[in-house]
Amino acid sequence: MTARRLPSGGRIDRGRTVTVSFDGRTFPAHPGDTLASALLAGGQQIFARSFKYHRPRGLMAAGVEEPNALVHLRDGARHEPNAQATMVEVFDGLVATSQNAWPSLQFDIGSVNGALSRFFGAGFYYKTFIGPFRGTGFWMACEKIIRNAAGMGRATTLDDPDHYEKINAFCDVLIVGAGPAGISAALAAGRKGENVILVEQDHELGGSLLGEATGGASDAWLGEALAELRDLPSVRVLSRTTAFGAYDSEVFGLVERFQDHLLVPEAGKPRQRYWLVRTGRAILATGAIERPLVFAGNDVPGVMLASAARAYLNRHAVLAGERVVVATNNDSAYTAAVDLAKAGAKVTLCDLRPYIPGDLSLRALGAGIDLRLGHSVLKAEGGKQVRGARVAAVDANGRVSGTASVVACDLIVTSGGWAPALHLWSQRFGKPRYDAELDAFLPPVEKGVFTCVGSLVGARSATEALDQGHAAGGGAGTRGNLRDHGDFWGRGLMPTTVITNANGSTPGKAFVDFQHDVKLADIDQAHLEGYVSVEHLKRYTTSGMAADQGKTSNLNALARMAALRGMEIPQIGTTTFRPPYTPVAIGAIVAHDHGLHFRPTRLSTIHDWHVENGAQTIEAGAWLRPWYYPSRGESLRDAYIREAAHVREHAGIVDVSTLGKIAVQGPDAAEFLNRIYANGFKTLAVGRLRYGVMLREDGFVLDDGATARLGENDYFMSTTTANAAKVLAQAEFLLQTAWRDLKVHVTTVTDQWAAVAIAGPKSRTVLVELTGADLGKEALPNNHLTYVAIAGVPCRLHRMSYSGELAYEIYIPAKSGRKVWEALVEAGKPHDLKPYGTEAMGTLRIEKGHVAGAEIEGRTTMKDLGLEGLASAKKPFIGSVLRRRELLDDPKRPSLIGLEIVGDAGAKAGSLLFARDVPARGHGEGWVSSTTYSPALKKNIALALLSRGPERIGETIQVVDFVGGQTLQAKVVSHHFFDPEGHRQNG
Amino acid sequence: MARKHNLPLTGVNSDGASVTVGEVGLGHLTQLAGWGTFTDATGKALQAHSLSLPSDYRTPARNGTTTVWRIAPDRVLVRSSTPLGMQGTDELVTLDLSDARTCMTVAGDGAAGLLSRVIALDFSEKAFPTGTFVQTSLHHVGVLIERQDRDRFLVLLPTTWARSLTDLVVTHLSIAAGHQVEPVAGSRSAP
Repeated sequence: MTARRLPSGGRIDRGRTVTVSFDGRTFPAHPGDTLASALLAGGQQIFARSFKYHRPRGLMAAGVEEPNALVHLRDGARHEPNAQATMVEVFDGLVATSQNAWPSLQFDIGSVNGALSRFFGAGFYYKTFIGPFRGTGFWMACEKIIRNAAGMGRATTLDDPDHYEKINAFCDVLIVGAGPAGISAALAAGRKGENVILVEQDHELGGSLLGEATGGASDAWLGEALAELRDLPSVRVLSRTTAFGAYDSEVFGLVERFQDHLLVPEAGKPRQRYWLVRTGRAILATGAIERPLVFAGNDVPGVMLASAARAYLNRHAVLAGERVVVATNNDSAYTAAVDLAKAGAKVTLCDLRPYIPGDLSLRALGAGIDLRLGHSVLKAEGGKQVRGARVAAVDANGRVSGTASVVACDLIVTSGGWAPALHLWSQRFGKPRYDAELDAFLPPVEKGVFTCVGSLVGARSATEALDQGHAAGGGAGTRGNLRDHGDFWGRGLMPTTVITNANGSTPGKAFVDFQHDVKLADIDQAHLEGYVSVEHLKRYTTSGMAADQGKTSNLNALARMAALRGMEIPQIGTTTFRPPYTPVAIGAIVAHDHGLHFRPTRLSTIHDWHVENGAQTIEAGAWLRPWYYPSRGESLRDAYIREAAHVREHAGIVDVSTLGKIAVQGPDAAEFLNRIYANGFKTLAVGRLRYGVMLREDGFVLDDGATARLGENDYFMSTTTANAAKVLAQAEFLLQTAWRDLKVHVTTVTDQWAAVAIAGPKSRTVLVELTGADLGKEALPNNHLTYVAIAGVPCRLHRMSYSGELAYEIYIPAKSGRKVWEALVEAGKPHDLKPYGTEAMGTLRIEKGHVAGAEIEGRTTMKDLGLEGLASAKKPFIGSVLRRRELLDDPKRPSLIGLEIVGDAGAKAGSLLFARDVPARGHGEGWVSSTTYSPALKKNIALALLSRGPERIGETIQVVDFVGGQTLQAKVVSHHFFDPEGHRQNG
Repeated sequence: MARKHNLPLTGVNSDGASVTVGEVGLGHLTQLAGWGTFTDATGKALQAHSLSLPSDYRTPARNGTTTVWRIAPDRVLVRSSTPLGMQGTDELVTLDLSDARTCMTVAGDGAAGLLSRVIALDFSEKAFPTGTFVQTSLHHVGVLIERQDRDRFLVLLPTTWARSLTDLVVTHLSIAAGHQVEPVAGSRSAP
């Protein structure tokens, strides 16, 4: 191939020259060029090495269907693999490198695979990894080598320096494809004032018109149409944007390559934007993709689609070859042949058809083309570039029927018909219909709110495409006119795309799927091995499974399968089209939803104080909580032990704003609580609070917490941090379904109230001094509440304890949370009040034997947790029936106990429990749920669930951590490690 | 952890349109909720404040600085500059939520465009006219948005989510150099 840039023509800005590089070699280019056209103009013939056989590959197409020219783009953190050179706009400083080749594109050691191709045929993966050695070790080792040898480009592991954005958009009409039909539709809809989004994957609008010679009538139409489009206020044009997915409810996914045409995105701008479009109706004007012919050597650099050769010529002013052989089975290649001839190429046109309409032959002969009817290309001669075409007369089945001769050439262009780009339609609606005349699958023109127009439905001319678009858009205004070439591909098309010797063989490798190196012989092999389903064929041969999703290969593979089975293509069917139409960067889909914003973070209104005072934070669900407050570089262990001990000896303050809080209001609130909690709530007096346990309907514990009665019809329920949303949803569900008779409302007030717990023997003194309230044992016993003002803020004070200490919870209007916290800390200084974090809080509750999320984990019953005594026998409640299931009453069920670990090492949560003298195998007799070092007991302790636990107090058992390889001995004790009589909390 | 921004701040969205993100005081927010007699009971209660019960879930009722948003068949939210002073009855319960929400404002030519980047809603004036409100989700968190003007939105955020959601919105803006944000503290996932 001796491509060259022509001195005039093309849709490039010759006034500006930029420099691009490929494998270190620089090429001049002009704005309007793609990387492919720039390299082609510079004489580059090999763009990549193929996936499996490492065969040299050149350009086959000029657009999104290109299967061969995949390159690495940019370097460093912006490095991007598998970019289609045909879709990359040039810019100054563009750096591209070849992929899948070593040591170089010209000489790739991996090409030895070609000689071993008989071992890499269809089903290679499924046949190879068996024997000869026992086990999988050998092939696991080979896998690394195979993966390195095969495949596509290499992704970078560096952080992406760019950002991406997601946009939700709504419109009346989404039009995909800005060729003549799409533009016509947009004009008609826009004139009616409809809210239109017109999407075009190219950076320039015009579609197939961009392949026309410049300065013609189509340019005039296009210029006027685009000018009008720009002036229509309700039309939004998104160029450089691919509609990659069509989903239910008329939702489309688009990716806009917003800044990809620049070396570096402009400051602050996203590199790509992911549009989620919801439309009232959709007009698909996605065009059609030319089918290649299948013959030996059809992948040699210099074999190209006819439409591509024409696009490079007319759009980029690049003549791809001087001596051209055109092989076709339809009319459309004639326009390309004539254009190439007019540009100075010597053209030989081989048409499979023995007869063609007179106007076609006149056009060809008039352009000086050597026209050979009933002929085709049997083989492309050449290795790294086309040197000639072995041409022969062929019959209707594509079999050679005469003597072959070699025509010297440097470019072979082919056209095997066209495949409408119906991917979006098919993603939405499934199987399309086969049109025998066009030898193609077509969508219906209308289905639901989808209208398909233009080449997608086999429009026979530009005029027909304009008509269809105009009508689909609503028919407003005039349609406009375009000159028709009279080269409709469907007129008299001969549905033969495979060229073989007389005996059906090919004189060399003939490729069906170029991107995955699937040969005609692979399809044949699959057939021989009994594959009859196209879905199985696809997976067995991997045809159509590459990044290009078989845009140029699917129909040829189906046609071959049909021929081998002696069936028609409709009987064979198609594979399923799924999004995305083209590869989409994960970054575009993720957009800003990563890192800090992977999910929203919830912060207490006191959070800043914790951070300012050195707290280490920890995620607890969506919350970020103070974990511990290290003093002078303390470790977590040292800090939590110190903090927990301090609470027991003095007083500590902890932020418990994360507790779930639910207002339960209404005249039937008491009845509601009585039904939702296992224990009774009807007798709870105003000013009192009560610990409660609620179950799921299946009898397992759902959550626990305290509920306070604030007024006659007004309750304040607290839940665990983790289950707040679940409890609220359960309550709302019941009120809206089973309990519609109850006049109750539940409302989350977690955001309304900040909450602080003060615990320890000095806590009462701190609060009395600060509030002046009488908080004596008689005035405010445990499980009572009162109202106080702190720093001028009205607060509610609950006396209750999670730590087992004398303790209070203070509920503060959230926006005053920090103010009250700081007042408490200040007032507590004389009494050595110190903040403590969640780790110490956990230690205190384990010492006290309170259950938490580690114990209420969905598999435990009230009986398992030693809470059976709370369950009311006088009333029904959620879970009251199913908790009596025989299985849940089994005395062997693991039940809550305490463990005192023997030795200095603590147990790991999740460790399994075994009797002392039995082998530690299987799932054991229970597990450790929570573990800590107890400063109060000065030993490592744990909460655990052990089969027949309460009966085994005093027994020594094994605590086995299979993951960490640790086995400890532990003594089974009561889970109430500390102050079991409750003297402290009730004091 | 989300970054803390010193509001208000102005930037441009990726279309180059200007947006100012700010915060205003909420005042008082009261929820009224009832049951079968909700319409009558709430109507009477609101009438005492020269307000009416909105008939739909997009159009608020107003009297001066007081706004009533109907957020469910049997619930309304009332935003007011002073406490409403309503007492609950057997037919109507009241709940103070003044501390449960913060008010973010998003204003400027690019305000609708900015919100469309974080919320799956049609922010065109046709679908979301000035003076109406919606309840929707912002990054999976329930929020209430009122369109106060063509280019000005009030967004009621749950207090404890507010910083994270505000940061997400601001992340979609290009802000001039010099904008101060609080450094991000490290954290650990729960073991």
